Amino acid sequence: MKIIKSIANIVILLAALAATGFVAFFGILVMTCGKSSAGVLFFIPLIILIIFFISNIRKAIFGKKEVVSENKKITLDNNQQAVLDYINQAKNRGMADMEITNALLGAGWKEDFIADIYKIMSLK
Amino acid sequence: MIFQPCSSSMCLFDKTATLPIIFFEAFIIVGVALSLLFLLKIEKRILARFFIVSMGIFIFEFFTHPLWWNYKMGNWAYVYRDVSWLLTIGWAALILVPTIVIDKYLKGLKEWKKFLITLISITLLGLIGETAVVNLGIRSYSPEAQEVIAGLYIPFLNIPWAAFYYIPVFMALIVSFYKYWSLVIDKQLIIPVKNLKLLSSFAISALGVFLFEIMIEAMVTNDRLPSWSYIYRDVSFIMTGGWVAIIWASVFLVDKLFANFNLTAKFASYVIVATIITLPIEAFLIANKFRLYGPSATDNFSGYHIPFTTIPAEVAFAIPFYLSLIVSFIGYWMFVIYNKK
Repeated sequence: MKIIKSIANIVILLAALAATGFVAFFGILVMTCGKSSAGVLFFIPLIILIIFFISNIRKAIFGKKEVVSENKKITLDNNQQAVLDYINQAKNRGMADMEITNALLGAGWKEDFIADIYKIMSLK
Repeated sequence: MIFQPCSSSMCLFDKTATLPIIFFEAFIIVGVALSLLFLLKIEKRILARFFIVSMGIFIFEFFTHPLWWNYKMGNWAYVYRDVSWLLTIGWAALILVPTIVIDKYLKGLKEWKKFLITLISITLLGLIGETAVVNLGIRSYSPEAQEVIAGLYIPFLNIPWAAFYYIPVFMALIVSFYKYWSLVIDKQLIIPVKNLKLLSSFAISALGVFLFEIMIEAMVTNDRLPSWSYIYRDVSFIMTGGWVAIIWASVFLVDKLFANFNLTAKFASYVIVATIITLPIEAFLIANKFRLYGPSATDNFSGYHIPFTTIPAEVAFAIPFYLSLIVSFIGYWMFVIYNKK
């Protein structure tokens, strides 16, 4: 698992470098045109955006939660993670469990799956 | 010297501003400042919203600028080639004010109705803006765009009748781009979707790509495709259908595999996946002369290519920029469909 994570980290780092290099090249192209250096107005925010996007992807891939109870350790898959995050956010906004469940059923999630997530949440 | 100063006509155009143009630029700056002051009173995080709309407009202007030329604005006004930051912020204010006002005061209306009212309002304002820039001598049209315009101009306004098509399409893309990112700015609760609605997501992808392709078709010619596949000028449903399929498949793939991604990570993933698929295909199409860029576009090329390919650097930049607008259009309308209640 550690090896996979390291490889994924390297791939993400390379992608970030490639994207930043790509934008840096664009910035130089912008600045070689005419006398205006106003290109920095968009060039610097673009690099910041690239870094922001990449760090978001990285967080989404590696930010997976593990729910630990006294005798169990459960690593959530992407679907479980998505539904668990939604339930937590909805609860924080004052939505009732019934309302949340109905919304999830409407989005195509099965009743058993939703019940499992509530069960996992109760383990915490 | 690795980077030669640009010597194409896209750089060496007339930048000398006339007095009326300088007044117009001052009017834009004052107008933008007043718009922001007004918006600050009725909505939160205005600077972030303004930045998003400006980015959307810049992205659009960046890859369509060979079609619509903006001259005589003064050296200070340009960011890239003839793309002007002054026009960008002007358009941004013009779009943001009606969008926020309608969202704020017509809250009870369904999203598509609000979108339609917004689109009509900003199209009317856009037509006024276009009339101003054309009559001041800032805006002119490339030979390829003029061929599409076919000499059909609105009397007294001097803007092409085609503006009734390209302004609403441009506005629809920018408003969708803004609305997608306003979900992030407003920390909107997004319901994860188990299975993407295949038909509706495909229809939205097709609509976005098709409207956009018709708008920018003058820039590139789709050649050597079966004659029966052409539906409008050189727009071929084989080519356009291919782009739709790639973009739709990228959205489907990311949504299916990464349901846990937030909107930012999803957006970046849509663009990255679709770009990775599109780049080699575009390289193949250019190398085999299925896609021929028009003189206004090629004149803008710096001569740099993506290593080991025939893709000009400008096209390589344009692909993720183009995709950014399209995927946010799809993402926003998918949000509207899934969050009706």
